[in-house]
This record gives sequence, structure tokens and C-alpha cells, in this order.
Amino acid sequence: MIERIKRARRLAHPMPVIQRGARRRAPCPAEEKIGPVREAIETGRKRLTIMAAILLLAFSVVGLRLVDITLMQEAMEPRVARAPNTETPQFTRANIVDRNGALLATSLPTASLYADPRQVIDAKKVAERLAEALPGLDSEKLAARLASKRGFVWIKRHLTPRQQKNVIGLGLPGVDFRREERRVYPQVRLLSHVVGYVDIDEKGIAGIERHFEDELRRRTEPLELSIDMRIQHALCGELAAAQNEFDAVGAAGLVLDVRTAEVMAMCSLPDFDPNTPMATSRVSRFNRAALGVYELGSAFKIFTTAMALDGGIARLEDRYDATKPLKISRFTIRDYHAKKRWLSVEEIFMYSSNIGSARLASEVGGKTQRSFLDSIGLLKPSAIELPEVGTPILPHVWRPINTMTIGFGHGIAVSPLQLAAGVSAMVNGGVYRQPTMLKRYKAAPGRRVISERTSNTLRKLLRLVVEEGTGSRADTSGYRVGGKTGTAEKSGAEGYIKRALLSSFIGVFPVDEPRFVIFALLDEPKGTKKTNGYATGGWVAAPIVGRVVRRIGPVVGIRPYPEKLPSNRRNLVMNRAHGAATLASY
Amino acid sequence: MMRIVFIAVWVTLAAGALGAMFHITFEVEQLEARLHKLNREIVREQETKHVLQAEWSYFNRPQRLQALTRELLPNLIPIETDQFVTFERLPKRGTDPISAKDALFASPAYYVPPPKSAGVRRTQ
Repeated sequence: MIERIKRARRLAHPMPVIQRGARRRAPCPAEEKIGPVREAIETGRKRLTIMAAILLLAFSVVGLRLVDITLMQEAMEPRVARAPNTETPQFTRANIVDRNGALLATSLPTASLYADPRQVIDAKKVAERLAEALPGLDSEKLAARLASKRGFVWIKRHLTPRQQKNVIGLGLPGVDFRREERRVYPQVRLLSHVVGYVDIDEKGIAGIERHFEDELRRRTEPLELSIDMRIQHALCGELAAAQNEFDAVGAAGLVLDVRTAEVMAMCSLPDFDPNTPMATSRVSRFNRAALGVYELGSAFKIFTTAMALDGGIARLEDRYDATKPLKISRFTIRDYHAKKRWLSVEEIFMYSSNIGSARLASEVGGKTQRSFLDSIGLLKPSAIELPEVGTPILPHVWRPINTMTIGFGHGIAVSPLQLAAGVSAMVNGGVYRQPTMLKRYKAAPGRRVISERTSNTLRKLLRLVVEEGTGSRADTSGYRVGGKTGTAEKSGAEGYIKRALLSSFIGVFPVDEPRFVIFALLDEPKGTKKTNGYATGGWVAAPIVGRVVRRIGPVVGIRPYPEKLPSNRRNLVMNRAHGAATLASY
Repeated sequence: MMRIVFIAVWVTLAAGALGAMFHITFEVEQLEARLHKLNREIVREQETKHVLQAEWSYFNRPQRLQALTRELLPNLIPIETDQFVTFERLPKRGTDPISAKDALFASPAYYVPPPKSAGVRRTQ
């Protein structure tokens, strides 16, 4: 283009003349003659100007953009990719803590080793060297996987820092680490059944981890459970000691706050380490306290007595015939330490008379019994925040015989959790609340099931059992405990098995103004010399509750009572034929 | 002459402004780099704290503490109910401490009056 202009100029002015100035001063006379040439020059000039303007514009745009980028906008690389955010949590799963903030479950960062087989040069050699650095890795299998056509294979998940260092030291191409998380349970076995566990991808498999799977992924704040670690430790420790002492196949225990229905402790033995859940048997992973349903025996007499008293069907001093075993069609109901006389309602409770309870229950009637048990949540699976919840086993048809046996806790199987919730409604003034695993800052509104007056009477009866009845081994100096023993024969394929017992005790502490319901159960305990060969609830389970009370009393700040506080007995209408206190072992 | 001075002043001002601008820009850049570094450090510290918390909980689990206490502090035993006394029963200042202590724990003299609300309510 420039060449063209030059040529045009040469054509127009053969001689280098200062044309411009001349033209300005006087128009060239020869202008007309050389018109076409002149026109070409003008066109050239115009094009040149336009060209320059465009270039100028382009350069100024570039310049402006340069200023814009260097000065006006971010001078750095995009922030998003680099900036670490200190606000958002770095872990995808929230912590689980107890009611006092003690850590029960948390996620820790770990490195996992993976490979891109397309980048691995010599699969066999790489596999061999990795197997050397990471013991427990099968080098042949790994070599086969590294030789595959895939773009990603895991080599090993969750390496220890030392292993990671070793692998880095190998300097192998095609293998790399990915930051992962691993769920860790610092309390190890203490809360295995409560907190549950997760799989390798941190997905909740059992317990709280499973029930709150989405919630734990969503929230940033730790999840506060109702559990109190100190109580949990006391309960589990005493249960384990008793399980050991009486050679029981299993044990279960619960501590429930009667005012809020919070589960303060829940223990099931044998337990497992949730850090390596798959290393233990299914039996260990079974939660006896919430998932297991058992015929719990005499503890049901609390409910029977409550129904009878609250419904105005019987008064404490009313007497029932317990002179001989009760025969209903093909069944015979016996007392284990039969008094062989008429017993008052109070005595029926104290001596744990099956005959008397059966008579009471049949007087209450099946319909009332059923609706009463339903009102305290014994007929439906508990709505607690755990996936492992046992469904109660009930009679298909509620016949009069069922009403009678249920009156003393046979022919109905419920979970310890349901029993404890029911009993806490009996002693807390008569209000049933659904038990919960979460910390409550305010008691949930409950449902009145019995009158305050009946609840009061029941508390006194429960104290009487410990003072003079079957539960004396639960007594603890300084604290007033009430409770009821329960012993049931386990049912096998061919009816009940005499030697296999389920021995339990449900305690109320402190009995005058209850705070806790404490339940302890031993599965198939064997009597020892110390217990004279007995393995009933009063001998094996009641002492557990007594010891738990002694341990948790000072911890939860319950003031001890003096040794010699007048017995409850004088508050009750005592109308016994034979005044002497008798110990019944059942 | 005035025109030259005028132009010179403007050019100097423009150059100065430009220089200041670049200077500030680079300073901001550096500060931002530092901020990133600090933030990264915070995140790292948070993570360390998290790990240490887990470790602390692991070492402070009750089973371990109990075992350690048994081994290392054999004289430390759980509190018993008769170790509780009320303020009213505490000896007055000036009494012989040894006899006062004896009097305090000479059972069964200790008596804790039950709180009113916890008293047995009579229903009959």
C-alpha cells in the first residue's frame, strides 16, 4: 500500500518539489491537466488517514485494557482458585459430642493413594515397590489393576503419615494422593452402640451416624447428644464387671432422665470398636438396650399396680387371694416364694407375687391394660433417634390369659428402652415423654398417663422393694434408691428354659424426687458362691444399679441423704397380717 | 514559556500519579499474597487443632484415665456419701481443728437436712 502511494507520488511529481507548501499558497495551474493523478493522491491520503485512525483506536483500546487489567482490576490470579476460606469447615461431616461437649466422633484428614494406570510405565515393578512400602498389599493383584486401561484405581485408602512419606520417597510416576477424611471415635468402645459407625466413604451405617446421616453432612456445629460420658462410663463399667462376675453372655443398661426423657447413658455388652466395626461379630454390634426385645418379667408389675391404683380398681390395702397357684385352662401361674395367703396390693408388689398381679390385671381388664400400655409407648417401636429400634412382641389376640401373664411381664417382649421410658412416666409425676438421644434444653411437653397421687404411691412402693423386698441389694448408703427386680426365663424353641435367665433391675434415683431411672439387665447370668447360686434380678442386677448410683450421685450433684431417714413404710397404709418383713428372692 | 511549564507540570503530575498507582497496586498485591498465606496458615492450624482435639479426647477417655489413676494415684478414691457435710455443721473459726474434724465426722452425728422440695409428700 505504501508502495502504491509512493508510486502515485512519483507519477504526480517527477521532480521532488515541495508540493504541499506551494499548493497552499497558490493552486497549481497544471491542476486541471493532471486531474486523475491528483485524484489518486487524494484517495491515498484519505485511506492513510482512516488507516491511522483505526490503528490509533486499536492501540488505545489495547492500552486502556492494559491499564484496566493492571490497575483497575485484580492484579493477581483469580482469587477463587487460591484463597483458602477460613470460615467454612474443612470437614464434610460434623462432630458428635456428648451433653458436656466431650468429643464422641470426629473426622480427620488422611491421604489415600491412587494411580492413573495410563501413566504407570512398568505396572509390575511399581506394584512390587508399593507392596514393599505398604505392607498388606498384594503386589500381583495390584500389578493386574495397574495394567488395566482405566484412568483411576485406588491403591490404598487412609494411609498413615509414615506410609505416605514412604510412598513419596519412592517417587513413582502415575501414583498420587487424594485428601480424604476418616471418621474417628476417640472414646473407642464406650459408645459403640449409641454413636454407631460409618463405612469407608464416611456414610453412616449404624446408630446416630446413620440416623442423622443428612443432618451431620449439612450442619457445621457439632451434634449434641443427651449422653453424659461420666454416667455412661459408670454404667458400662459396672455392667462389664457384673457380666464378668456372673459369666453372663450379654448385658444392657440405661440411664434415663425422668424429667426430660433424655437418655443419659445407654450401654450394651458385648460391645465393639467403632473404629474397626467390621472386625467384630454381628452379636457384638447388636444393641441390646434399644434393639433387643425381652420378656422383662416382674418390672411390669409396676404398670399393673399403676393401672389398678389409678383406675380406682384397687386400693393399696385391698387383698387378693394368693393361697394357691392360679389355673387358667392349661396354664398355671405360681409364685416362686409363695406366701400361701391373701395379700394386699402393697404386699403383692413387695413380694412380687405373680398370682396377685395376675388377679389384679384381670380385674383391670384386657382393654384398659392394652390402652394403658399403649399410652406409655410399650406396644409400638420407640421413636428414638436410632435406626436400631426393636419392635415389641405382643400376643396376636389379647385373651384373658394374656392379660394375666402380661400383668407380671410374661407374654410380652419390649426393649429395655421402652421399659425405662414407661417406668419414668410412672415415677416422674405421671407424665410420659418420648425418650430422646439429643440434648434437650427444655423438657418436651409430655402426656399425662397417671395422676400425681398414683405416681407418689408407686415411688413409695418402689422404695419399699429396696428397703424390705427383693431389691435390697440396690440400696446404697446415703442415697435413697427405689426399684423393682425382674427375672424371666428365656424362651427357647420348646417353651421356657429354666437355666437361662434374664435378670434385671429397674431403679429410681433419688426415689423421693426422681431424677434418673436406671436399668440393668444381665443375659444368662450364672449364680456364684457369693450369691448362693442365685442369678435372679435381686442378686445380680440390683447391685449394679446400687453401684451406679453410688458413682454418679456425686457427679450429677445429688445431695446425699442421712443414713437414718424414717422409712417409707409408715407413710403407707400397712395392713399386713404378719408384720415381719420377709425377703423374697424373686 | 508558560505553555512549556504548563505541559511540564501536567506531565510530572501524570507521571507521579502513574507511579503512585503502580506502587499501591503492587503493595496491595503483596498484602494480598500475605493474606492468602495467613489464611492458608489459619486453615492449617484449624486442621491441626481439630486433629489435636481428637487426640486429646482419645487420651482423656474415661477408661484410660481410670486405669492411670489406679496405677499412679492409688490414694485417690471415688467420693463417698459420708464425705458430704453442710455449711451449718462446719466448725466455727477458732475451734481446735482436730477435735472439730472429729466431731464433724463422728458418725452418725452428721445430718443433712433434706431440702424441702425433696421431702416425702404424704398422700394418705
